[in-house]
Amino acid sequence: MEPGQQRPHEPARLSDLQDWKVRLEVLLEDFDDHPENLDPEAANIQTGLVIPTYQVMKTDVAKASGQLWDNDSRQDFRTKYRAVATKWITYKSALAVLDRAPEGSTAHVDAMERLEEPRSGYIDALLDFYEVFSATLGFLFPP
Amino acid sequence: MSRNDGNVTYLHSHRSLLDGDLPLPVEELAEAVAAIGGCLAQIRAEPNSGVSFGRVTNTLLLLQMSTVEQRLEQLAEIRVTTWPDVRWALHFSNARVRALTYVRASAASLRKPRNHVGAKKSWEDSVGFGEVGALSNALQSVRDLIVTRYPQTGQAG
Repeated sequence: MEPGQQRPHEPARLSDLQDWKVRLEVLLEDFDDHPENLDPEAANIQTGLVIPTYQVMKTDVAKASGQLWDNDSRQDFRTKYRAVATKWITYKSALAVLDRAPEGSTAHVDAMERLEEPRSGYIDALLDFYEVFSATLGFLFPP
Repeated sequence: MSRNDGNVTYLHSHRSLLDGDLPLPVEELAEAVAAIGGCLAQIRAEPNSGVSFGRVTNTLLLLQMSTVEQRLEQLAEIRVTTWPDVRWALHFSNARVRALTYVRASAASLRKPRNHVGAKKSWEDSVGFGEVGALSNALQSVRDLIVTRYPQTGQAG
């Protein structure tokens, strides 16, 4: 933030955003070593962390920050969100294939192997999204 | 991380996440621990039970597994989006889903009609030795995760 620039009013859901930021940080640290841990919680993460984060940022935070959050940075944040959303569609399909395959069958083993690429694609996109989100939040609402 | 300035204590947000209110009463975790303990005890008693192999024992096991399945389903409320300890919730979720998969597969094997009517079979014959081990390990993992993080639940079983 430049000297003389006014700190934006804190949006009502700032504490939610801070909570989601910490959760994403902890999860991404874990996925670094155990990416497979994402599978059972992936839908919760997408619908309970990523989507609400994007929605609150584009409404409450955009309104509270005014011109302080410039257009290029907003565009970058949107792009990162869309990348996560796109990767989620592919990953979700691969998870559904795994769910349908009987445990212990060849189809199950194949589905597990085919899941690795969409999963890592999703984690990479999630990390990019988190980094932009975290930097924006830290810039607009420094501790 | 905490800092104490006079009467005010500042807590790091990660710390407060770890120790926040639980979305589920801890009693529900204790009930799951007890159910899993009962099921594991039944499984371990099986090879030494001598005359009790067969339909009655399998029925008892099916009842135990049904209870465990219900308890594990109730614990689906433990999510990384709401549970105070995020990392624990993530590991628990994995363990819970794996245990549910094995419980359902083992119960389905036990319910399968037998080819030789009236033949007494151990539950390991019905389910498969490897599956029994995998089921036991999966249940033990869930139990250990709960009891290690919330020791008060261990008193239940």
